[in-house]
Amino acid sequence: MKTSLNLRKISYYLPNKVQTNDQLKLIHPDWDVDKVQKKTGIFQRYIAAKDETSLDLGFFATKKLFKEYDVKPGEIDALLFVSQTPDYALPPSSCILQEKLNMNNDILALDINLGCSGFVNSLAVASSLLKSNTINNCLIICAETYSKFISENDRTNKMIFSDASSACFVEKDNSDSYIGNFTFGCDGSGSKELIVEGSGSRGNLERDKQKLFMNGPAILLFTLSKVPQLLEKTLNKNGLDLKDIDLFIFHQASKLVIEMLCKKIGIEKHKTYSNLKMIGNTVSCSIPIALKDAISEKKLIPGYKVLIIGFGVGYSLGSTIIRW
Amino acid sequence: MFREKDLNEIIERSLELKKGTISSGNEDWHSLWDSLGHLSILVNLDQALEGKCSKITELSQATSITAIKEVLKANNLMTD
Repeated sequence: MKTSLNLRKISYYLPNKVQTNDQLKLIHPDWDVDKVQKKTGIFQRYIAAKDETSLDLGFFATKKLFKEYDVKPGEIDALLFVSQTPDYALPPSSCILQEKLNMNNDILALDINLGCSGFVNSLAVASSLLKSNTINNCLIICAETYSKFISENDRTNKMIFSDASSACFVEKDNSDSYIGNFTFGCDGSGSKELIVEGSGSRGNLERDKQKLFMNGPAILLFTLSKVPQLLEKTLNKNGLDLKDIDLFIFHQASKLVIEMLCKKIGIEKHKTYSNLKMIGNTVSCSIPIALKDAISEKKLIPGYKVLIIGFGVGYSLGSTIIRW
Repeated sequence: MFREKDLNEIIERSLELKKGTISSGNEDWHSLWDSLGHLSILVNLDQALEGKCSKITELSQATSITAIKEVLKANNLMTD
């Protein structure tokens, strides 16, 4: 029997600073911005202020969630903080947020270091804890500030990644909503293809030399090869067919990647959702932000079966089906 | 079987070149083969070869016609 779980309470926060492609054209007249825009489908990105961190962004998204849905800090049983750009190597951001957000001292607080698959895989942890009755609800905060690791002259990454945060409250209820079975993937042979060298204990570099490196072609091949397989596995594990899914929400990597996956898998365009144009690739926040925007645009409505799939840095993948 | 002509067509389509540009011997188009161009080539190549390319990681580093040909031949996906 399926446990009724829902994650309808989602809020997100975007930093104040917006960088448009037109602004980039002025800064880098030698860049063919229009050509890149055509492939990525991204017209602008959000950039955290110099003194604004992932923890700050996560805090703001959670405050929005509290206000928007009248969630009380004292009712939260568990807090998962997902980020690849934490404020500190230690202590965990989740513990700092417990105090800053006035949550109880008897909560479970965990940091999860994952990128594009981070939301889905954290949802798997939350779902498992809820189904085992260990907790009654869980707050998943995703927050990323990749911009702090992107060189001013990095044409590719600068035009893709956007800073953001999301807060998602997962809880039990008596509705028909459920979170289905999960599937995962991991291939550490791709760990060097998306990396910030010298950002940890190994070969530690000065802060301004820690830059994001992305091997786009290698990641594309991994995506082409592994995502369709995982999606099929997710359908099988949930006893569903492609036609049973009302909406597919992929990690918002780029227009090229989403269109390519749809074509390869055979998904009709109207069954996918993308908000890349004005939001950009927000790494672990991309799926919860897309869910929220799809709800706002009435493209995701109660009763729908939505398949979510995250993939990227690691390499790491995760997928599930949610009955909304 | 996939031939050189097919590969040239894919590269021309991916880089938005006029048909026949590559066989004409004109090499002015090489600068268009940047990282984004390479992504388009990989997507179209994978489609033309029915998903077989995505499993060949060496293609991510193959950034010339000669290099792609070598990789495809080594994987029995292309004839001379």
